Amino acid sequence: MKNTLLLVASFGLLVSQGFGYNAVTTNIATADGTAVPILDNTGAPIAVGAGYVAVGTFSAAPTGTTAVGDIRSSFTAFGAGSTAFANGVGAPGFFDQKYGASIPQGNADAPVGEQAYVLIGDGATLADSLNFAILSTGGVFGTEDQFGNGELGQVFSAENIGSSLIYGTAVTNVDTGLGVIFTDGVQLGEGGPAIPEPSAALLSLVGLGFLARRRR
Amino acid sequence: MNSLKAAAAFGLSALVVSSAAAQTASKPVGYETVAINQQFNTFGLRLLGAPNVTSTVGAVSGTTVTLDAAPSADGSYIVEVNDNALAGAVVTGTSTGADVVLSEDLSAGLAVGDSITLRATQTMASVFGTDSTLTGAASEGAADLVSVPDGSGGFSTYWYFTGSFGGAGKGWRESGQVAGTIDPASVTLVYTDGMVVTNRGADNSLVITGSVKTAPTTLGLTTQFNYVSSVYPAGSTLDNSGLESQLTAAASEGAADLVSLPDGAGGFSTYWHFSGGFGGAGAGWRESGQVAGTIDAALVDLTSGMIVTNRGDAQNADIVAPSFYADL
Repeated sequence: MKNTLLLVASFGLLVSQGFGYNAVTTNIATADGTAVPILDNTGAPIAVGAGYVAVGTFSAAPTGTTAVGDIRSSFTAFGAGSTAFANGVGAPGFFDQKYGASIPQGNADAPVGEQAYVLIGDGATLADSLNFAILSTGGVFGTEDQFGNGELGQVFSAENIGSSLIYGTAVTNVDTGLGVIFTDGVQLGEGGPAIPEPSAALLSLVGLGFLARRRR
Repeated sequence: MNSLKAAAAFGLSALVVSSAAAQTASKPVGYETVAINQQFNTFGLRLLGAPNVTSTVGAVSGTTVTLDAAPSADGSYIVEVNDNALAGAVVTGTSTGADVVLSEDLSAGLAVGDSITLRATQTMASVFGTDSTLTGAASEGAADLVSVPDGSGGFSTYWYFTGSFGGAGKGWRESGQVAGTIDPASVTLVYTDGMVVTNRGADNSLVITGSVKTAPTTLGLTTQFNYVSSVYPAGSTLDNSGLESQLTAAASEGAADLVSLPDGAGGFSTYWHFSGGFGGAGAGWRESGQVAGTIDAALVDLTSGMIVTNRGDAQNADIVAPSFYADL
């Protein structure tokens, strides 16, 4: 009996080593105009220490018109970590978050294999938030390696926000009072169309030209 | 001051004395005592096999390099490139006369006239003993494990089999092996790699002896977690390692490369390089979770083994010896 207990204790220590599985996300990789500030529904940047940021999964893939109630009810946050906006430059509108939990190697249960989303709200909690934005780089949850280390990173910048914004309103040339004009930003609220990628924008123009000719 | 403190901890006095006394030694030598505490221990080799020959490249063809001077014996070597485009590169190679077949094709960057050093390999046998200095057992589940990066993102794991009833058949085995043993002298430990020793017994230690490298070293980093060695046994800190200019800095921890050092208590202390706020102000090393100010990176001694989390594409990162190594 004593040996059994010792073995269990030893095993417990073994599996607790490593960094665990961490979902990390930020919208300020570089402190310049390529960072993507998050604005509330009035256009003000969300203050450090306020707002709600979480990484998790949706039971049904969200779109730009998903109802607020459905956003709340279908989202499952991953891991433990602070959900209030925090970042290393102390500027409003930016987050640098990490959420951790154990997903041992070989585990196939949810959220393993599911797409990871970053859900941003204007309240202190999911339930308190009235307006949202949803971002995703398309990454999916995996598992830790044999030493208990795993990570899924989602970094949003002007380079990829066009393909990452799922819900929320894309805004451009954003001035939050920091002396920097940000190329792109995201305003919380029911989603307008995502910022088009250059190639998609070009295709739209080509399509419009084609329609214009047909109408003549 | 910090360098002196580290030197005392790692037996640098022995290193200096040996260097001065051994006229035949081309490099300083020394020893390092590595703590192998209960559970997981990430460590790297910082005392290396002795240099056998340093020569110039006479010809390069694919993975075969012909040196202008042959090593003293045919066999396996650690191959170091000392200058020019691939300075710092470390691979393994097998020599026959002056011809060395490398483990990787360096022909795109290696040129005739480049300087190369062939260094004796460290192996499972030379570091952990033919009869293991770690805890062996009759079953893998009860033995200490040595996990060595396999070069493709995974690990090859070894343990010491103490033999069946009567002690027959003892020797090193690979994880999952249930019959026979391997030759531990055939398992090369590359000094740029970090290894993990899973100690299932009481706290232990390992004394590693060998030569000290003074030239820069290139660490090959894959995406995400890289178990690497800090290469230089004394005085190497986050500040003087050169990693600041090699790893990705960012304005947020979530976008920066991370350097994680075992804290001796089963966890890690993790650092990242803050690229500064708007306008670049306040750049410097920060500890994980730090959102204001920077640390004094000269006070952070590099442990022998480190985990570098590379958030970008695969890249090379050069790590350099402390400046005082030039006097060794």
